[in-house]
Amino acid sequence: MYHLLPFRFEPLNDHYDILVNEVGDYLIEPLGTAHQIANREINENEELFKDLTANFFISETKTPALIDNLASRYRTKKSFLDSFTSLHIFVLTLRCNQNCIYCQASSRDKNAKQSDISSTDLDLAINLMFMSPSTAITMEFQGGEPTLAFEKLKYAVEKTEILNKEFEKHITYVLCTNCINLTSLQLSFLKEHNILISTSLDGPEFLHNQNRGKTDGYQNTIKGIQNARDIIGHDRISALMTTSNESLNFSKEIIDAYLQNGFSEIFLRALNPYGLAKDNIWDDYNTCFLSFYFKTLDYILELNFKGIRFVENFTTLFLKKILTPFCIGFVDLQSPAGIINSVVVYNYDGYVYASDESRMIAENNDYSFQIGHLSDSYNDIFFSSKVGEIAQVWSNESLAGCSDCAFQAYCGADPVRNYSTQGDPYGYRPKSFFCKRNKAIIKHLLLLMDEHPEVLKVFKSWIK
Amino acid sequence: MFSFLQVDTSTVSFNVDLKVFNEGILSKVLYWISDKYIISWKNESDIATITIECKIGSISKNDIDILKERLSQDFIDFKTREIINQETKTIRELLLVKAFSATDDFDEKCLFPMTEELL
Amino acid sequence: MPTNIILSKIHNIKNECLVHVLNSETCYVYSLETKKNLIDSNNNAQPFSFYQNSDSQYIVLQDFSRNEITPGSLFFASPKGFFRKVFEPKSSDNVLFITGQCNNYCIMCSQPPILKNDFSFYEKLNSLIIQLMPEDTLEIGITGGEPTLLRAKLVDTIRDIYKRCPNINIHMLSNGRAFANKKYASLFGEFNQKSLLMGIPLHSDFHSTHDFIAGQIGSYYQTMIGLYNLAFFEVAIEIRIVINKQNFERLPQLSSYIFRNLPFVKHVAFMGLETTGLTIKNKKSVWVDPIEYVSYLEKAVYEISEWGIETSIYNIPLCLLKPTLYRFSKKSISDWKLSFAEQCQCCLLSEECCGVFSTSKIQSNNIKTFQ
Repeated sequence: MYHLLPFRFEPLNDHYDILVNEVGDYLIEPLGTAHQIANREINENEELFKDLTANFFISETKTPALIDNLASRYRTKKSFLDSFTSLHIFVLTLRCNQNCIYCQASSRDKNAKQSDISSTDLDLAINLMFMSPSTAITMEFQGGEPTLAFEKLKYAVEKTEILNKEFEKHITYVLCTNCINLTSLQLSFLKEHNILISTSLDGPEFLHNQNRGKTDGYQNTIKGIQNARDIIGHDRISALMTTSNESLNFSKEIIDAYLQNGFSEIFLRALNPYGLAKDNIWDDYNTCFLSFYFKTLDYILELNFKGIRFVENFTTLFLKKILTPFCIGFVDLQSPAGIINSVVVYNYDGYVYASDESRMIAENNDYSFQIGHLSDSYNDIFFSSKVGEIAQVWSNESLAGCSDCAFQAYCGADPVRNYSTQGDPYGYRPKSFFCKRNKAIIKHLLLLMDEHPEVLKVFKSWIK
Repeated sequence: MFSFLQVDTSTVSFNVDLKVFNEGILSKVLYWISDKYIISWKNESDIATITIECKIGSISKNDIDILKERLSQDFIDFKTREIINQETKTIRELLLVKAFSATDDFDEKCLFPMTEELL
Repeated sequence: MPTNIILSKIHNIKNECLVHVLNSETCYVYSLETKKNLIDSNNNAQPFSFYQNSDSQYIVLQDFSRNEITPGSLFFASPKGFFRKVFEPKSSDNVLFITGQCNNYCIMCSQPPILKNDFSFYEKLNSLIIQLMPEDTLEIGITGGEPTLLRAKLVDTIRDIYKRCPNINIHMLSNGRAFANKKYASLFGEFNQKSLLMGIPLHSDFHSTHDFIAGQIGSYYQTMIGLYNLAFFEVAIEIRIVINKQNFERLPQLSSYIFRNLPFVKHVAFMGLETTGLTIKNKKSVWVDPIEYVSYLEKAVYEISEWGIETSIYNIPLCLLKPTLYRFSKKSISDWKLSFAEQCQCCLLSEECCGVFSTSKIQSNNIKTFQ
């Protein structure tokens, strides 16, 4: 008789179970298959037996012959841990020139220079960044609007390049900006130092302006993007959008706006419950966001079937986890969580935070995820008892509601999100929107691919 | 599977045989309904008596039907999960050790006879 | 520069030797045992019409065949009168044969294993070939039987090849089982900066099926462990899948398995049968007409190639494939056993087609002409 190997399962719908093994390989089988497997009811002659054996759901021997191979695959899924903190976010200033209704950054007036990071603090932050064991790091500039403190950005990049002669890390520079303020001189600097731009475009003009709280936001942003493309190159700029309540009804319009403006990819981002976005009504929003997401994805797939390559990057993250043996570096979908393990934030106020969201809640005087000051030592920050406490709850493998979840391998843990929405970093899964949303999306994608091979083909082309 | 006893307009109770569904399984099943219901649990030898009280308003027939369906499914599912978890506990730990051990020098012994002779 | 030479059979020689053709008139003859020039102790090339050495042993060359002989070709000659070419300059089909012995017994083996210990003979032969082959040789194969049965000395052989030809591409075929021993696999890590491609067959994702086809219980697990060990030492790997009656129905599952478990492989080759050797003996369990499996093959090819892994189809004529698969088909059959059927004479696609094995005793009944 065969032996069981670790796997999780759940009914996918009224007809099928989904079975997922320890490294994220899945099988979709008739409802009740999981029970049959556990009760030793699968016959050696069945094709299912071959599927289960080949794919590490069951084994001939108690310890599977290929356990070392399986361990290698497990290691690969968790290999983001090898590099430890690799995304270093520098919040250069809280000043901003827009007034987005969903602003997470609690932005300040554009002239309030006391909200800028000091050069001393930049030095300290850069030193901390170089202490990361990762050979490849990303230095990401955020705000407010970081270009309002462009001198600080220049200083940071130039200092980093000098220091990197000694450390020889592979550094990717990213500037998160609305592109409105960028002068040609600044763009030349970006070009010279190979700095990528990540910008925000919510959709067509009326929508974008509504979200930005400025009547000329869209025009200025588009102009800014065009200028940037002319100088630093078309491929050096990517855009994401935020789905405000207003955005929810405009799936087609948003994608069309992206296409018209020369983008061939998008990141469909839901609102986060932080900063100025917090007072929304979450239950309704989340249900509506899911509808919006499914509808928008359908439209994007239609375009792809017509031969127009357009990629949805949020979906692609899930797909990479579901379909490939590789890991991804997206901090919101990791276990152990991306906070600290993958990302750290050096804030304009001189303090170090576990993640972008962690510094948002600090704007409301909640310092639960402030892990130190820039003048603290690396060990005191990254290996403090505070981080030790957070570590107790940052792996979904050991959280109630997650430890048995079929989609554990495709999801992640987010103690900051749990804390912010539910008051407890451990989180309470039955009421977690993070859980509900991810489950719904993953199920949708799995069924979509199972029922429509042509969709799977498009998805593969996004990942490749 | 379950006979619900209606205690009052917002409360029902049922019994669970702990020899069939142990406390771990029971806890996991009840976890998922604890958002809508206040749960009390009393053990008497091997029988657990679970009392569920609706947090808001009264408990309708529809609520009871949904509960029955959900609980039936969940009890079977979590029992199977328990079987799998028990049986695979050692393998999971072994996998983690092998995946994250820094060196290769533990147990290089091959499971098969043929390869020893090759060097 | 081909020349019209008639190279003759060698009689009355006391030693196994290697004939190294220099040009249209001269060649060297080396003893396998001593590596010395048999004809002239000063190592000069001699005209090969008639030879006599100091011990009065004769090598008489008479009419053998009217082949065009390329300068630089190497021929093996034995006292029994055995005479064959072992190296053809500028050809991409040259191989170094390590041994006829094998520790598998594949049901579709076209070259059934021999039991005799022949290591010593081939070591001597190969050593001379390596010494004499042109330094700018672009590619060579290492094959058998199972080359890894030579154990650590195989590594020496490979090292010698690279010493002689630093830029050569080596394509080695192995069942991969020996690499389950990590120390052995580590020896091949020495060549991971060179172009050494290890071609290893995987018959199925399911162990029993693979073992049945390989003729050895446990071979699946050993091969899979071996593949991981090779990957650990960054050896380039090609997975070869010989399609037969036992495994064609699970080809798509095998592709999916390869992507998830062996994502590091450089190339996947789906191969049609060469119906000779054990294929004939095991006809009932091995032979399947490509027409029967082409839909499975199509799914399997797309499953793996859509992930960006280089994929090829070998040994299946175009008329037996779907047009969607044409671009994966390569001209895979070695010149010396390449053949075409009668129907191929007027076929429009015969230029692009890989043809069939001249050695195959069973051919598909579905070969047809494109007009």
